[in-house]
Amino acid sequence: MVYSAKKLKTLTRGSLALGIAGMALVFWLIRNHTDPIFVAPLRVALGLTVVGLGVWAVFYADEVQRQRAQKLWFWGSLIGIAAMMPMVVFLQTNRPWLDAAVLFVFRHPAMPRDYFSLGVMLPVMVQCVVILILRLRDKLSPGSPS
Amino acid sequence: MKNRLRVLRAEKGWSQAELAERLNIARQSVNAIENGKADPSLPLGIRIARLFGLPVEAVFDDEV
Repeated sequence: MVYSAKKLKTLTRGSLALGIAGMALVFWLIRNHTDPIFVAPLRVALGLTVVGLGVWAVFYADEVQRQRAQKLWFWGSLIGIAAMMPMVVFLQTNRPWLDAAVLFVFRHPAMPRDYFSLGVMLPVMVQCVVILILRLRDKLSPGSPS
Repeated sequence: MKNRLRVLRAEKGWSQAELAERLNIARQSVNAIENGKADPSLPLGIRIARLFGLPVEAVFDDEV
């Protein structure tokens, strides 16, 4: 596959930034997690790296990439919400399944806050999955790069 | 929107990557425009037309 200089620059910088963030994560994981003075700055640094990468990706992308990403996110989110509805209705009308789902995700007996977290996580996760599927479909759809 | 980008590019003997380089956009963007998956903005459309030394309407066709 042939990449343009712009794409190569994006890939190189992205890989470098992810590598640095990854090394920081490894460094953070091997240390004592209970020490807030040590953990807090690294969490902030990681958060800023992730947000920074996202903002940089948006501003560095060209107009066509942005246009296509907007379309994918719009349709992906819409389809994701629609696809989630049967799941939500099923879980709400079948409490044992809902309890089992909470237990499966959080690995401890269900608490009210876990139901809330699951309620927030479900739509976001389904939306992300649908967006990824649409991106894959978009990549594999007929085109003739040369 | 239909366009003649693929034909014009082939006439010049450029690859998608080369054209992308000249326009300072990603190769995937050139591919998307050529396949009608994305429409360029007016400034990019003008840049493309100027690159080929043609008027915009000679590159892009608004008739579906």
